[in-house]
Amino acid sequence: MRNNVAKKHNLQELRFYGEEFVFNTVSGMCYRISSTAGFILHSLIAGAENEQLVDLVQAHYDVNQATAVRDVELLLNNLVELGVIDRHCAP
Amino acid sequence: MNSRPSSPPINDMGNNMKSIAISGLHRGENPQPGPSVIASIRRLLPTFRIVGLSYDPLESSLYSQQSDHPDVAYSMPYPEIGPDALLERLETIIKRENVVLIIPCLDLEIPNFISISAKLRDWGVQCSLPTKTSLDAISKSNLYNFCHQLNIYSPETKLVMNEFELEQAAEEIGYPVYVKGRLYEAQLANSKQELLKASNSIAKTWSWPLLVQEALIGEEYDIVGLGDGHGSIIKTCTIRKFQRSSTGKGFAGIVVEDPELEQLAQRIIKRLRWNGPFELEFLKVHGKPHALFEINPRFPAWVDFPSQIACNLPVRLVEGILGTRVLTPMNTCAAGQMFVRHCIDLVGDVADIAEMSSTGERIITQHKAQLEVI
Repeated sequence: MRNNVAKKHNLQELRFYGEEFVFNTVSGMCYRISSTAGFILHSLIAGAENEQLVDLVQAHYDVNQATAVRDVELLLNNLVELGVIDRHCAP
Repeated sequence: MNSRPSSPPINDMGNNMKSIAISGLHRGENPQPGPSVIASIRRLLPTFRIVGLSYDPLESSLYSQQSDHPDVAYSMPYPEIGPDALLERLETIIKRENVVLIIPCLDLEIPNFISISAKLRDWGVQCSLPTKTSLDAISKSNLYNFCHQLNIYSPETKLVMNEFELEQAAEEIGYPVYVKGRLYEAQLANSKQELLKASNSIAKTWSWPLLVQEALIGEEYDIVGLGDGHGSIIKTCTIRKFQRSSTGKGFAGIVVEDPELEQLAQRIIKRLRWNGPFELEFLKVHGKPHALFEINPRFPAWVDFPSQIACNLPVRLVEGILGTRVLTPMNTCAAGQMFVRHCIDLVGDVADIAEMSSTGERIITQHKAQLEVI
């Protein structure tokens, strides 16, 4: 529950302009993101747990599980590193 | 006792027209706040005549055709000369222009204005200033200790009196460091060699002592606001500078809504019981708290940005000081609103420089500014 609150709090700071541009209203940072990153962020905002992301990516992009696991982990780490999301959202 | 200098105002906009005097009139590589403050006031209070207090005939707003120029400009003695010369010059200007309020926009002027504020009040001229104690607390050499007392993160800063102390301080803090003049100028030094070069250059202009400061590399956040003098903030606007010049000046900024920064601002202003305009400058290094590295005792050069989105702090200052009954409402600046600074070429004539240089004053527009806003 606490983790969910932290997750939501951070994600609520994000404002999307189209599919590939995000603005963080607290840090003032702007990011151009890939459509896959956009999909993952939208999924998190919609309430998906980290564990569900692999299944969602697999279904949405029609890729095998190994690819989906790798992509989700890489993207989440990348998003954390860039400060788009905080560590609570990392795998 | 109100013993305003008795000669009637001679400005030909009518004897009852009130004037506001504003300094810091240059928008160049290192933009000063005056033109932004003028534009902000003129946008909502066009009936005031704007008197420019000028330190150089080439100050750019003296040539502006936009809303950011004074109606008349007077040359001023440099702040280093002291408060007596300032008061003497102001006496003439106040008599002639019916000045009711002065908004100093340069850091160096503030101590002089604090010294003469009682006399100005006697003359019926208002000036929103911090106390001397508050100003001393935020000086470059005292800010680190001030932050330490408040448990606010700030880059480690040491005051040094000579080259020996300079080198020692840089070694203790660890390179890279900033070498700073006590009032102005900062240079980054990555090595002992650069340190000595920077200190020689800065000391030549500003003399010793100098400051050595830990160099923090991160995003810069600035807060402009107005303190009520009792510990509360009237209003603020917070931006991230997302385009900075080589000297760190913000040429683009975007509004952020960061509760942590708001809380920090409240704590700082409460402790200082700050009166009047201020700018708080923070650096945010990834993974560390916001570090306060400077407080400016005046509006910043970007203050016309919030004014343009209905958060007009200069107008609130004027209305507050002059006791306006119905204050202009101020919006809260919303995250994502942004500004980009735009430089243009202004046309002038050497006759303009000659007039200012030889007579110490220049009427810029007697009527045009008023007509534009009408």
